Amino acid sequence: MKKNIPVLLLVLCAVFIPLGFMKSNYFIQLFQQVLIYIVAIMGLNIVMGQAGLTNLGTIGIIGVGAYGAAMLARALDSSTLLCLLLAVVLGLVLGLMLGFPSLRVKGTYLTITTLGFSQIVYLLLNNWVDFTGGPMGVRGYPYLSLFGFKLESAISYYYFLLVITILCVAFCIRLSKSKFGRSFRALRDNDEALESLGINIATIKVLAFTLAAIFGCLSGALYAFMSRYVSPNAFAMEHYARYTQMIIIGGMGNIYGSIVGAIFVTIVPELMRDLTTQYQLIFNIITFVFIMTYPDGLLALGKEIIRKIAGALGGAKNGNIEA
Amino acid sequence: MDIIPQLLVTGIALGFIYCLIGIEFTIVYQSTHLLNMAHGMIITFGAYLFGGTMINGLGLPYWLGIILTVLACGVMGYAISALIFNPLRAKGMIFSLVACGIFGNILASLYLAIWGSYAFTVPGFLSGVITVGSARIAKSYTYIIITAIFLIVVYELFSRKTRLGKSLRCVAQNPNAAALMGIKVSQNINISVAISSMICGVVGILVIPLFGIKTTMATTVALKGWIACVVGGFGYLPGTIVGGLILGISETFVAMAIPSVFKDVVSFVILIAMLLIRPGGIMRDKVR
Repeated sequence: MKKNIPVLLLVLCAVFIPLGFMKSNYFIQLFQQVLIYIVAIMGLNIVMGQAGLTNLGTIGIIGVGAYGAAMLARALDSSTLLCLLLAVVLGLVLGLMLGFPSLRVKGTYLTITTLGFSQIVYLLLNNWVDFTGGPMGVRGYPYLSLFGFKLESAISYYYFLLVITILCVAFCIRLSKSKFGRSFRALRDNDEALESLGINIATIKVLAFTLAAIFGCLSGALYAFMSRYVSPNAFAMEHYARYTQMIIIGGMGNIYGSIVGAIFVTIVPELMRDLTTQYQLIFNIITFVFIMTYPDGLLALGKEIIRKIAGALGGAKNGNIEA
Repeated sequence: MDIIPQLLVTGIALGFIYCLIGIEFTIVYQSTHLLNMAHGMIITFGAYLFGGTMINGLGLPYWLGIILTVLACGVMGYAISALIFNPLRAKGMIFSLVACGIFGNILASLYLAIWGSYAFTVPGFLSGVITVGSARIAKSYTYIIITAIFLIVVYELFSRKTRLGKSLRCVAQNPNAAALMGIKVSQNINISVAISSMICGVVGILVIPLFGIKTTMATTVALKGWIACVVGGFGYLPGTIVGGLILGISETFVAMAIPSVFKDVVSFVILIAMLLIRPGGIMRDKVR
């Protein structure tokens, strides 16, 4: 039970902090963005953090999810919840599509293939004007409605997101403790040993990619309903660094680390925005230096600091006793 | 049918661009075993420095601007290698990808801060048309082809005939054995990355007439350079040349048949097909 206290605190913060910012749409939207990132990062954490497969296609997958949901919502109009579900199905299909090449290729090749996928998505979104609207993007689709209740206000959509995010995180925690989670980590550490134990590597790899794609598409669809406007620039290939930054800065392969990473990478640059116009540059430099010098991540750093403080207090006590 | 030679020259020129990028990418990969995700930004640096500072800013003659830019790229490559690639070598693949990605973003923001956020170009640089029979060929393409062939020959001579080139190849093949033979491994790696960055600088200057100067100018080409490597056979120079030419020529000719929207997708389709049919590349038997 004691272990669950930080998690409980995090959830309570997520529930009550936005109430303090009710008046400012800017902050509510920032919190919404954090939750949307967390959903995507959960998927990326499975495939990159736990299974150790490089997947730089996430940004493309999110783009497909966002455009899919937006365009379906514009076409179907009333049943937006159905669009959300269809976006998830889209993720399933994409994950299988990306997962099967991953059986043939490894390392360098996998990096290039997945990055290439992101670039194809961006180029099609940007250039295929007849279908996607090109640089103008897609707009003018309805709000997400939940069984007849329209989530028009930012705060109601925030709580909807919060429920989805908690479900996703709970699913991932459960998954990482199941035999699949153990297989993912074994695949990362020693794939031959995994095969010798009679576990089908192919299934595990495709499963990892598919789960990542489903979370990615869901995140993209949620983004589309949040921003009410999707344009190709949000899904340009260069943004892949932002997502990989999140999984590495909190602590690689750790679910809580990924959540911390998503919160950190979204909130901190916004806090720096008032200080300087080059906040994104400065933030990137800080994170770059941090991960070069401390690759274990923020979570491990926090634990170490707590241990050191505890050690110092304990040491002082012991010293007193000896004296 | 005067359009055929015109398209062919365009395709070959693009192919050589991909090939040069493939070569600089392979140099870094072989010596450090890192994927230099920031190479697109080093290419962009060459273009910005040449166009923004040397020509439009200081008004230097082209030849001096080119020499200074290439040298500056070399120095930058050396610094990047000493500060980033050498420490990164010991860490895992995913980690180095992330670090290089963030580093690329840092460079992009720096360029915007230094040279402003508007795209620009160098007026009159490599412009003009050569008329051969009834075919009209842009001068920039001929310059690209000549420069690329010259660079490839020089690089091959350098790495086969000179002492430094040989030691660079030793480090690429087996860093431990090279260290035992008294070769300074990390210094050699720095020089490799510097050479790779100099090639990046040349590519950046050459593509100014094609794409203009902006931070995203090299994103797509940089990726296609990798694809050229994979299609030809990773780490084998003639393979990279063949891969680059196949990509460049097929891209230009396919663009005739299908809507130009899908032009850039062609090379990725070739990549996926290659990976599924022949993952080692066309010349895989020669790749060691």
